[in-house]
Amino acid sequence: MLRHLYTMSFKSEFFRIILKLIAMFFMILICDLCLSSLFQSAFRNVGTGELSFQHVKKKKYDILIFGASKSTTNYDPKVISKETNLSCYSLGSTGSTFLAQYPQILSILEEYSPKLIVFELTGTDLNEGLLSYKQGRVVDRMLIHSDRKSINDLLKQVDKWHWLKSKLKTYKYTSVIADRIVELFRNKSSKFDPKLGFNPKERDPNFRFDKIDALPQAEETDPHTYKHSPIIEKAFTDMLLELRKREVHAIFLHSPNFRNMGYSIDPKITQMIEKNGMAYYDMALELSEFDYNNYEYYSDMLHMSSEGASVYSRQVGLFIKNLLADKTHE
Amino acid sequence: MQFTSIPFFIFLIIVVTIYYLLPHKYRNYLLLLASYYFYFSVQPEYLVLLIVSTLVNYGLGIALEKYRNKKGLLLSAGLVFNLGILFFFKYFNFFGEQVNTVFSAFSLNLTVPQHSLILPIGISFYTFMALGYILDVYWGDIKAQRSLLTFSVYLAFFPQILCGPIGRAKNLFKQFNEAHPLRYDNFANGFRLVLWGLFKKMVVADNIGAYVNAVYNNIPMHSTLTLIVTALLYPLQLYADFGGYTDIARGVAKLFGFDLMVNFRTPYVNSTSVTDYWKRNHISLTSWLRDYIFYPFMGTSTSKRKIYLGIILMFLASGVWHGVGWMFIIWGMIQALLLIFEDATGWGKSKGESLVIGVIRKLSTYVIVAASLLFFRLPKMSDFINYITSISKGTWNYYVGTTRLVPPILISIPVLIIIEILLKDKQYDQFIAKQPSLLRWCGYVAIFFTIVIFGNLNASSFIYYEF
Repeated sequence: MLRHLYTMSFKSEFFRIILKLIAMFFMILICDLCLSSLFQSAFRNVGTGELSFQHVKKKKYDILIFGASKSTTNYDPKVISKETNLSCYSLGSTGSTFLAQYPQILSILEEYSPKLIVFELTGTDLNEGLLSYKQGRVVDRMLIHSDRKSINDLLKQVDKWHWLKSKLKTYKYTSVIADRIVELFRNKSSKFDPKLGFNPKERDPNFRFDKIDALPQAEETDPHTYKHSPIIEKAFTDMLLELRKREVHAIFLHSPNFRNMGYSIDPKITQMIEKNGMAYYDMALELSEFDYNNYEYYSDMLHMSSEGASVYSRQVGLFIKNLLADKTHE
Repeated sequence: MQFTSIPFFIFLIIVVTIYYLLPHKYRNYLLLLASYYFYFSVQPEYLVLLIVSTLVNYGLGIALEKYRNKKGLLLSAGLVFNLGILFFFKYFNFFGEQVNTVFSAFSLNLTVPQHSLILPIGISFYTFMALGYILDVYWGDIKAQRSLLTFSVYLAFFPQILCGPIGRAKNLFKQFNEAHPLRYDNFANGFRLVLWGLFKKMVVADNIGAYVNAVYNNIPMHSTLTLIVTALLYPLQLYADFGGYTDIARGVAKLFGFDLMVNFRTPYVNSTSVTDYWKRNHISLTSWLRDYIFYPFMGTSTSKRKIYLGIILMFLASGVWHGVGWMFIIWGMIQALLLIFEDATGWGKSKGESLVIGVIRKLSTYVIVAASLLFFRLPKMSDFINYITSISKGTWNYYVGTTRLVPPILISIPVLIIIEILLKDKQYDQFIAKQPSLLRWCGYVAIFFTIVIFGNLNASSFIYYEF
């Protein structure tokens, strides 16, 4: 039945194919090593494609702000620095999530201990849907930090394709180049300040605040309806434990939305924070002086205008100052 | 199981290994089993429809040969069955909507009910393959296939079932009955095509697609410049997506020793006229429409008027085949009118021009095709009007899009265009095979790294799945 396998023709063709496949495998391996070495010498900040992150590691800021777009538009690090007399930087990024920033946090904690870490929470921090986030911010960040075992294990669970991709050394170095190219094309009109991580947002003149009554919260952003991810929950708990172990102060904030509408915070995440002896503050309730009904403070429903960010950041600065003073007192 | 997913490649390695271990006589059983499994993994609920279509067309083919005196009736049955399935799944709701609009215009209290069934993937492709077979048998061009196994695997062959190329019975039956010994050349050419197809799909199409979709999802927000660039990018996305699929399909078939029909000959880079474009683009469909609609319609006539009517008929069918709605019909009609215009003015026949004129002709053809594809891409006439209104604003700020898309788009488009210019009329696998080994291997490694670094690994769907 298997006579055809023993013919000279079959054997020679089979070995030729196998030989070429092995040769191709080794060629890719060698190229991977050569290219990564080449890029390594060309770019000092190897091992990451995140330029802001490198900047923070170098400057060792006292206060770091993490979160999604709201953390870049609502928190003016310059104002917070002024109020607290501490250096401050926002590592938030639009569309980001806790899971995307988790690898960075771990990496920074290994480098140095900031005086305070501020987390701006969204309503979807534990949403399982984030694991399949197509734009790949989550997996991209994990990829870059996949040398770390905990991140490698996490990545394997989140996205097997990207986990495989992380095995290729070249990726990390070329991602640095890709980031540089992206920098060249960054929208010139953007007011993003790379020294602060602040990205003030002007008011959209077309946004009709007077038309907003009650926008229903989308199902995927409502913590009462979305499915919680055990993977993200575990990563979040691990981060809390790591912060406690390293005795780094951390606070979790929810900055005000226009008329306090929009995302509600996941009760599960506040429970986890409190269980680990950390503090969660809903700033819309904590800051009585901040008028969250004032539409001049907002560029849209969720994000503040530069005016709002300035007022809000001053109050956050005072809040942090008192908090750190209390902690020192204790 | 997508062509760009890890499970597909695991499946492929297993099937190829078993295929070459099996003696020839059992290989078609394996291919059929693998094809049904593949289709089941994509759309389990419609495997039955594929099997029913196979059995009916197989029976009709034999009956057509056996009962020659009733061949008209049998052909009609074949047409009704195949077109009926296509109509029911693809056009019934659209047709119902149009009828209901007429009813309501005349205040008639009647409604044509709508179904909520999703479109079976690949139905347009395998139905046309079945129709082609029935017509070939009816005209006596081929003999009816007596082997149910061969006929089943002809319709279900997994590399081509989802998006073609629309194979011909004459060519494929022969290949399914041939022995396919293990050949290094088949593997080498297969891998070349698969790698190039993955590059086209995952690096070019998916990255451009993310940008194009972002713009077309919010047309009024964008400037004139952005809308022009997007309209010019879309043909590249469409070609890289469908061309990428075809390359992977042809490459996968090559691994088994099969030669699937060539579907593209660098249509967007080397076409000097719309007529030339249609000789190079989606060849398996265009030639199908030509052989089974245009030629029978023409008969022995050579009258210009009839030729032009034939072209209109052919491209009307092409528009309808591509999708549901008036926009596809308009797109088809525009193609027909452009072809008729070129024939009438002699534009499509010019040859032996200077390099500069040649480049101008190619660029103008690209722009014309890109403009006509607006009807293909935008789902409704209101979107098109929206597009025209927005493009007339005369604003020139440019939307860069998600910054992570910039490097892959900037790198991949020039690579695609350069390779396509070099290919001209040759096929990728044959062209690469003739290059020096060092250059070839460097190319493989470069493409491999580009896919890994910039490729969208989340296995997005192919555009032609919708058709």
